[in-house]
Amino acid sequence: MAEPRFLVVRNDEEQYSIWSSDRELPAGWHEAGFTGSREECLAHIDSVWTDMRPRSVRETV
Amino acid sequence: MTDILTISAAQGESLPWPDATLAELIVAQAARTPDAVAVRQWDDRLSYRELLDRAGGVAAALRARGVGRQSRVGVCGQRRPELVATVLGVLLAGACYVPLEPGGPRRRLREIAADAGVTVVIGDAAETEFADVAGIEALGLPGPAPLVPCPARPEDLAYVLFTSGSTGRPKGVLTTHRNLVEFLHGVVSFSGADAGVRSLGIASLGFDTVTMDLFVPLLLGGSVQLIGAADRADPVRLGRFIAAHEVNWGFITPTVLSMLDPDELPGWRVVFCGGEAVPAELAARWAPGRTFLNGYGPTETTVLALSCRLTADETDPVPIGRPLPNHRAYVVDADLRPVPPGATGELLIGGPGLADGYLNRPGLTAERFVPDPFSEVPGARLYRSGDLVRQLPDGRIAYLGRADRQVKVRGQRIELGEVEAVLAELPGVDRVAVEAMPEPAGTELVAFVTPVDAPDDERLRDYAGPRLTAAMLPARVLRLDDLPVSPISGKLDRSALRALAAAARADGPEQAPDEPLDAAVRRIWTRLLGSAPTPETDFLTAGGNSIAAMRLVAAIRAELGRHVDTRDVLTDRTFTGLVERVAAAPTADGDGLTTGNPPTLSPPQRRLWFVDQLAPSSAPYNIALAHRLHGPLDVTALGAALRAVVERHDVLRWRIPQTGGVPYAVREEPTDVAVPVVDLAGDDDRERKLAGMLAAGAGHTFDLATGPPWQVTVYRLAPAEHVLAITLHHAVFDGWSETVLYDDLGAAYEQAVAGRTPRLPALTAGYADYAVWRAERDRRRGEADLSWWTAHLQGAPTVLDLPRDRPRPAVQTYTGAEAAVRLPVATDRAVRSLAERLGTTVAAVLLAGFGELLARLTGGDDHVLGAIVADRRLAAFDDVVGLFIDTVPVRVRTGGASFAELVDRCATELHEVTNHPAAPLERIVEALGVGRDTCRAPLVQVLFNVLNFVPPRLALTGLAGEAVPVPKPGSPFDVTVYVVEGAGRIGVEVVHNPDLFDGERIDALLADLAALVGALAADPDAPAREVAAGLPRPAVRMAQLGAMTVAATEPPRAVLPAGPDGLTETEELVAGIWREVLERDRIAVTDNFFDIGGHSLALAEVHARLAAATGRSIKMLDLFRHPTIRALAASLDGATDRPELARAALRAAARRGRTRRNPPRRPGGTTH
Repeated sequence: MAEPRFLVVRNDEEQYSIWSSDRELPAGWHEAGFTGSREECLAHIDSVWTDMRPRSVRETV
Repeated sequence: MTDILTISAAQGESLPWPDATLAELIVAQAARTPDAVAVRQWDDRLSYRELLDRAGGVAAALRARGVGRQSRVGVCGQRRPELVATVLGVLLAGACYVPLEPGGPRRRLREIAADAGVTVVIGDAAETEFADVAGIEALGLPGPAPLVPCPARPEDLAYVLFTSGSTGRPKGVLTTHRNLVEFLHGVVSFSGADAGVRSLGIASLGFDTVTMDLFVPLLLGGSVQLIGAADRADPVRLGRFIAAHEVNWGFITPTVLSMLDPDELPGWRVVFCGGEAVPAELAARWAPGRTFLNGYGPTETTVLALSCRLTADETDPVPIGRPLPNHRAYVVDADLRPVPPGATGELLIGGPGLADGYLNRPGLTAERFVPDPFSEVPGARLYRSGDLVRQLPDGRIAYLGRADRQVKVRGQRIELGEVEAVLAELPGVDRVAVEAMPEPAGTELVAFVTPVDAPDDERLRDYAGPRLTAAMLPARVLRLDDLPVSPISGKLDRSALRALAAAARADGPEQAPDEPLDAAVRRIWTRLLGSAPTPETDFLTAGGNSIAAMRLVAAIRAELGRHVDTRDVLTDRTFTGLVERVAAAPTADGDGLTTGNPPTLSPPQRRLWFVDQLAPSSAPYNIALAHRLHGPLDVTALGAALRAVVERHDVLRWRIPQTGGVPYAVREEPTDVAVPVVDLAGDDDRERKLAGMLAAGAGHTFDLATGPPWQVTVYRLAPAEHVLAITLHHAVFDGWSETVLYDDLGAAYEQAVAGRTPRLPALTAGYADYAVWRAERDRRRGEADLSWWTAHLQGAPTVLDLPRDRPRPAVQTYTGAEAAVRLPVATDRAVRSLAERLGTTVAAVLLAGFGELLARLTGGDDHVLGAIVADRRLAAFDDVVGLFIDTVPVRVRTGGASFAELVDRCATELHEVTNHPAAPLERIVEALGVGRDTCRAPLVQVLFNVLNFVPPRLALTGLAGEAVPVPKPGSPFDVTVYVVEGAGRIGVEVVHNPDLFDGERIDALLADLAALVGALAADPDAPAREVAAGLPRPAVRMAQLGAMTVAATEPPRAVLPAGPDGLTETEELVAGIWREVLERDRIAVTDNFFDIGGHSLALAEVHARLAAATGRSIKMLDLFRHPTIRALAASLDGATDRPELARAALRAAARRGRTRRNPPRRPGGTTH
């Protein structure tokens, strides 16, 4: 059986997560342009999500 | 959209919450109740105003170091009220706090600080733990400073809590003000907390339920009852703390709750239990008669996510509940798809409690916080709890276990992987597996390491101790050649490991008991730790932990009646060491003594504090001592010796300030004692001057709130002749203390003159320990003793007026004068032989004689006097300086009896009155409904002091000395009779109030007493009334004409015009304060304060509030003199010549109170 595929996804607060590639993406979440195994997706997020503050917080500073 | 009815899901009610930071909300609450107690630990209290002042100081110090919005600040403090101010100060600075528990594993603490990017650590333990850490500034607690607005916003972080991480690195959960404020509002609403909440402050700062402990009350105007480390570590002390602090609301883990007795804590109305599975049996014990709530929640969803009320009829596993307000819960399968109702799945939690994520761990955050397919809010996330649950038919959710390798030990969440990762780094360890095992003391970790000669327990402990928390340390370590592997999967066989662990525990070495105590301790140890100890078995190595220590101590106390402390168990950890400590422990059948308590006032101290407020000076309650010393006095050595004495007896360093009329004790650090020397040498008139100075010194007015409660002076009369004079306030001293003081001073002086720094052995118990012990004793026995007293004093007169020479002043004066008589030789002999014949004391004979004299003076046969009873009932108090005495009523009934019978009655009476110490005099006075009166002390106006000490001698190296009599500085009673013995003869000394009696009358009374006692003792079997019928002489018996009246007080002034509801403004003001202090809704303007539940300490509170509300200095006496609202208001109005000015002042005060940032003391919202 093939390893499940995941998408790296991001919401409007620019918070990242992963989502199964064969399921409909919940409202308010967008593909962030990376697909892979669970581990690959999490590793990708480790490298791109550098400021973990929600966008709305970042913008008030 | 999925149909919510066909899936396993639940949603909490919708509840709005304020869009504000926690700091802003607490500041707003503090402005509403500035004088209410915010935090209490025994007598250590912070009002809301003080809390904010201290927090303001913390915030200012942090801001000065560049801390601001979105900074992270470490908090490292002991469990004292200031810790709450420290946390609040960090929030007020705009930063979030990172808890760094003092005493925790050092390396782990430092790693967390480094991980969190903390550059400042603040708190009273910061310097101890972090002073030497590069890149971190350790700050002690700064002084108070005014507040400036908090720069943080609701979406900013409030705290970062580090929890166990599976890779061996703890992970920091990022929780915002919004998360926290929303949760707190939900839990307040759910549990019905209000301004009367007194929460149990028991969680450590690193455990997220601490936010309930601290912030639920602070948002409401309630108070945090913050338990100190020593009380927290011992189940008996914990129970006592909860009872003494009247805790009514609190969160606790089931393990700790199981050690408490619900019957002892009826006032704890709302019990939140959780952190680990709550056994149904525990709910059955605790649920009846109170609100018993289960609470469940990962740190990642802010403290609690689910909760429900549990009944006494639950079955295991008990449900963890339904979502709290605004929270949602879903049960899903491995693909995050909802399972049908009733099916097992992973619990996912959604709602405003979700944290931002894990500090600097984006991948981990993305894995645990996933897109929410169920929410209508776009972009919402759900937290994957990793907990396996299922929804019950009633909608509640039941916890079934973990989906991963996370376990809970003592409520602490632990990733087994983290423990394994740490142990694997130890050189000499090859492979590691860690399993959680059900052990007798609760869940414990067992480590399996290879090879078989892997480092021993001690090396392992040395290595892991600084890296793992106590709960994460394996209780046992098994060394194996190889870890077992499953033949099927080829993976580690964890069930085989668990079987190994169980087998290893079962064959612990057994040893024949050598003696009964040893055997008994062994039996308890084996039961609690699961295996029998060898003499050398180490408590911790055998699987002991702080909870097991608490249980062990409780079992030893309950089953062996020996009092050991958890510290005893944890300090000397071997089994033999424990047995020795148990053998050495006082057998005291649960004497209930705890040690190391913070300064705490005893009831007699509170009473003395109160009369001290009332009396014009402290002089009547001074104890003045003086010794003439012949030889070369070394004054410097004397100072050093006195320092050693006050180091040993901390009560001599206490101060007794007050907040809102409630006194409390604080302790100063010991300082050098400079002994002032007054040089009278060469002065021809020196003896007369000395007498004057001694009298003046004895009358010194102590300010208990601000200054030391004692003073010392040396008078130099000649190069080798000095008088050492020490005056102490009775609140910290008594007759017995005199011997202790002299012994200690002598011992310390000897060391000092030998050139050493004097050191006295530390006391086993301090005065505060007595106060705490007594509070518990009084709590247990108070009602029983009080009913004994009320029955005993039923129908007794409450006023004793001796014939006098002047009308009684309207307000009691405390003036004192002295007189004395020595019994003639024949009388002395007759008294002693009668005492011997009746098997009683000289004091009982004299009391009977005095009683007969009273009967002849007043014409009555029933009198109440006061007697002094020493409350030094435990050996541990023998060497403690302090106030250990109570004044108790003594009822003397004469008439129809021979003198021998009277003596018998008095002997019985003196014996009985010592046996009911748990109801102090003011409670008796209150229960008897004795009317208060400013002109006399309540119930007891004549004191008969039967405590005849052999006058102690002060022996100082190289000096000969003798006591110098010092005139008594004042008279707290109309007459005090002391029975004394000197030079082999019985004497009677009297201190009386010359504003009532002429000296001649008292001299004559004493002469007649001596004569009467002589006659009665010589003829003890005749009817007493017929003996020496001519005594007392008319001059003693007859009062001066017109003297048996009370001098008139000034007439009340005109009353202010009444408002529309019939009350003047002043009456409204007084009534409001009375209602709050007495906690009554309705009080009539003519109700007497003391008839409707008022007592002296409540009066002190009214006094403080009234003074604050009016901004005027008001005499406490006026409150006594005018015990109704109407009378008091009239007196207050009259005190200002122009009533309209008084009215304007009151209005202005009310306005100030509403608007000022730092208003004067004014009515708070709570009473205590």
